[in-house]
Amino acid sequence: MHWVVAVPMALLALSCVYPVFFTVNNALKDNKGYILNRFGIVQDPSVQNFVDAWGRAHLGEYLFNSVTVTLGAVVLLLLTSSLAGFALAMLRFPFRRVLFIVILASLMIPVQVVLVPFYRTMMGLGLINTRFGLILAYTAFFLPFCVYLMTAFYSRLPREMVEAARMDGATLLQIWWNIMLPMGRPALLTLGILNTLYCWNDVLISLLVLQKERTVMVGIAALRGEYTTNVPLLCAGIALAAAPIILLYIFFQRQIVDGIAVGAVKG
Amino acid sequence: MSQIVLNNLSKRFAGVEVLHEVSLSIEKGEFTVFVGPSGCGKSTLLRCIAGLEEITSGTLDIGGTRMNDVDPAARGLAMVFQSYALYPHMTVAQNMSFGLRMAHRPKAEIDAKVAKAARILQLQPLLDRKPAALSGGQRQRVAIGRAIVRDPDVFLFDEPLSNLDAELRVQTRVEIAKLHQTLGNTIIYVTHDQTEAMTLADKIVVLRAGRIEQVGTPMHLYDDPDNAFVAGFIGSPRMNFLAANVTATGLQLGQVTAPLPALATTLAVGQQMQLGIRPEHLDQTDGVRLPVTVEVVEHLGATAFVHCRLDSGETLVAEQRETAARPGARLDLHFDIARARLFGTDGARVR
Amino acid sequence: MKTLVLSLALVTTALPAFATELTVWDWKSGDPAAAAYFAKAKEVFEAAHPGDTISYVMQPNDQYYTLLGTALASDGGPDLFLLNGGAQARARFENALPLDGKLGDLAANLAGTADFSEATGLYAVPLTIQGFVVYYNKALYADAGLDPAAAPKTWDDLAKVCAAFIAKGTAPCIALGNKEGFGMEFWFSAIAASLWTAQEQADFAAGNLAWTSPQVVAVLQGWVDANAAGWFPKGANSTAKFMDEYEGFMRGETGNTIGLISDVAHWKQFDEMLGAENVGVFMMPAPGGAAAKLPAAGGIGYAVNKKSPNADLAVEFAKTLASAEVLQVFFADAGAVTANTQMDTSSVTSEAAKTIFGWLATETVPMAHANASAAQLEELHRQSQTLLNGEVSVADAAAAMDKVGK
Ligand SMILES: Nc1ncnc2c1ncn2[C@@H]1O[C@H](COP(=O)(O)OP(=O)(O)OP(=O)(O)O)[C@@H](O)[C@H]1O
Ligand SMILES: [Mg+2]
Repeated sequence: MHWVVAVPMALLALSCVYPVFFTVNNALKDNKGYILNRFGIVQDPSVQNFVDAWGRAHLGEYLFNSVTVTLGAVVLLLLTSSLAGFALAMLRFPFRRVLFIVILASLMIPVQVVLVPFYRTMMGLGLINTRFGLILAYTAFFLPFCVYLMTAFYSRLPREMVEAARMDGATLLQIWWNIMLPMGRPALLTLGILNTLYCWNDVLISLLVLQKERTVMVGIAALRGEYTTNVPLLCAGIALAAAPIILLYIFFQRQIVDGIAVGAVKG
Repeated sequence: MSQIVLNNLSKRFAGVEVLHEVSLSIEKGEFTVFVGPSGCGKSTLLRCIAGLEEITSGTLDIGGTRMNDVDPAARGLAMVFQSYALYPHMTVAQNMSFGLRMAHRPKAEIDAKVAKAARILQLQPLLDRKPAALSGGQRQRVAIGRAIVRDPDVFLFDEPLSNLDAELRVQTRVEIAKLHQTLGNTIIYVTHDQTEAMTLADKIVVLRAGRIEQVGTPMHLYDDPDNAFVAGFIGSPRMNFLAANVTATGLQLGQVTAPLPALATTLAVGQQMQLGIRPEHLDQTDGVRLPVTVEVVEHLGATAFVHCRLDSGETLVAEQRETAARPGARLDLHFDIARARLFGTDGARVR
Repeated sequence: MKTLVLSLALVTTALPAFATELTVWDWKSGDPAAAAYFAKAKEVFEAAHPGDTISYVMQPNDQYYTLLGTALASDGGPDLFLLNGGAQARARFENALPLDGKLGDLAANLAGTADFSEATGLYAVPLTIQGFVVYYNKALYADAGLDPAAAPKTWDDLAKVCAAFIAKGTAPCIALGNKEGFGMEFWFSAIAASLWTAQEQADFAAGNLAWTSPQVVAVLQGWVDANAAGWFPKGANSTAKFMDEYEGFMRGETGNTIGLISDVAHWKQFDEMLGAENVGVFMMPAPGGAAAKLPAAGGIGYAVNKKSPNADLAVEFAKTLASAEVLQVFFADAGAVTANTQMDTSSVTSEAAKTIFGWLATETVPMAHANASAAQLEELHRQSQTLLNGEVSVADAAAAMDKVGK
């Protein structure tokens, strides 16, 4: 009876692998070769599309921007959300609940609604066209969810641990750095993965903030024309843009699976 | 001069007062135990002393210094939590050295102190393990080790034995007693188990609903309780209380007549009282005779607890060395009226 | 060190007084075919205005109007921005500088201005002209026993062509991708062009020609009849016009397709894929129509942000972008049919293109669907699909269209 499991699993695996195959296969064709034979295996493969995507479509430069901005935003997000989660879950201060509810409520505001005030603010602060501006923007947009998750995660840890550390003479910052940050590892890892994907894949916020420099997903989006798209070039771009994320996944495979498992079990 | 002095200390949580003007002095080197039923405010009082809760009103002095607003770490205290509160991501050694490392003490000093604590608590083989790889008793010792390393003037324990099984609890209790003898520090120890209180304490503080009922040595509280609550709380099995009526010649306990014990107070005839008799005192061969029906007999080996019913319907427990009592059988219990304690209907002791 | 930073700060803050950077938004400057044109415009302008610079910001096409709307609403928009003619342009006129009297000699040489104008004036400088023609595959015509040189001129000619294709049975007659309803847009304007009088076009544009009027119903009826006659391939409602329909045509799977003449110049693409000798072109005839015509309109054009502090300079650059000298590059590289009537098109070698340019001079009429409102177009997309499925009668569909306000 094991085929009852095996066949659907194989189909599932195939459905995950096929898009990757389609992308790479077509990236190696030229436009004419693609139009004449969209699904067939590439006849005379060429890396010209990769060269064009890297150079002419500037994905090389854009990749650097994406890495800088994603890394910056994720680090800032993890640090601030674990600080905020620590405070909201463990410390007692006035209006703590109100603050938490306001943060929760801000989760429900769609990005589109705040675009204009957001853009005005960024202009007012002179952050348009700066990578730092985009890092701050991502942090602002994704922070509420991170704070919510970290608060929920830290709330399940015994408060006595923090009290023990206070008795041990640790300052709040020392407690955060030495106790809360390492204890928050599973949640931080989950957030790290999620936010890396969000930041990496974002187009809209990046378009508004970084107009002269661009991030790689914006570069990809720009490869799609108004009426027609050079699909092989687009495929090459997508492959280039996905490569760092895939490498990251292969690198951190164990931790990522553990992180997801911990998130799932502990809810 | 007393080491710790509480003066009219009150604590309110969101408007609800849980400690009412508590006043208490604790001497240097004394082993003080806070006992009382669940929810009476033992932990809260301990945490106020530790600095983990703000004191709403009243004062706390430690070593002659006002400590109300002093940071917990600066009060010269160390605390062992009920859940141990070990840091799960640190080894035993790192757990114990945490406080010293936060204070940026030299490495040699840290190592020496950890080694010393580990020796006292026999933790040497466990120093590189994480808490998850320790048994309950071992975790308990690490928690104590973490307190010892800080070299505090006062140790605070909040129900440190409640997560251990019965056997380990007795063993650890003895270890804590030894530790107190070795180190000689002041200890404040919270428990709701009167046996722990009796065996460990130099001084017991009985709390009820946020108020101190009585303070004294274990034997003092046992022999001379201020009220029915303390009398009932201290001693195991708990003291029996029988309704008593004052007559011209003595006390009427249902059908039974008993002489009055020696009292400084003169009682009015017809006054309602409670007579307290400890189970272990219902073991006499003469004295006041109480005819009872046996309901249940619990044999503990050396002694037995005999649960009985008086003809008045009141129940009581007698502790007897040798008994042939069988459930349903009639039995005559005897006690010495001088051992009994008399209380008013409000619970206040009548001496 | 400190003085260096200070003097740098002085230089950077002082710079704008001498030199201006114009920010220009579009969705095209990254397109390889258009890149040389944009570079040329920048080069010409910067040479004429020493110190001033042009900065193109290319936004992805599908996010373009969201971003533009956000930036303009935040008073942070670009100095110039590219617009599609018709409804998209009109929606932005409130942010655009009126250009009447500001374009000098250029004004006389511009076609397609109607699609960038309102009663209050002209709000953008058109760059290109867009229009619809029918491209056909000569090899498939020969296969079906037709004369590849004889393009259909009337509705009856077209009916004969399709009958031959149906008889042959290997390829559908007219390619159709109507997944988003674009198939109907193209059909609508192409048929209306050949069917309606100038007055009727004007009435329709003004909202005075009802959808239930015989003229409009005839266009919709043609759609249903052609489908019933088997001219279209199966599954048109699940085929995207861009790019499924055209890719199929380029693979030689269909005989005819209604395509564009500019921006993406289909003649250029089809010549490459099918071989120039196999590409023919004709203007879509209409049932009962007299002579076939070419529906055309302003394609894309540049508007100047009225809040721009450099509006005068921006107008200058818009003029550069629309000048014959610069547009020549756009035409040569991308095959763009430009709005500047001074353009020299003599260098073109494509037979199809030459034919189209010939018609542009004399045969153009308005592009009807571009004069419908966005809401009407949306409803038309929906109705066109239900019409193809046979779920609604032409009369009911027309009545439903009349319910949607202009
Ligand atoms: N943070 C708090 N907020 C509100 N009320 C509290 C808080 N902590 C304790 N209390 C209340 O104060 C009272 C005393 O609690 P405390 O924990 O001191 O009792 P305890 O004697 O230690 O009981 P136990 O033996 O169950 O540990 C209880 O009624 C409790 O509900
Ligand atoms: Mg407690």
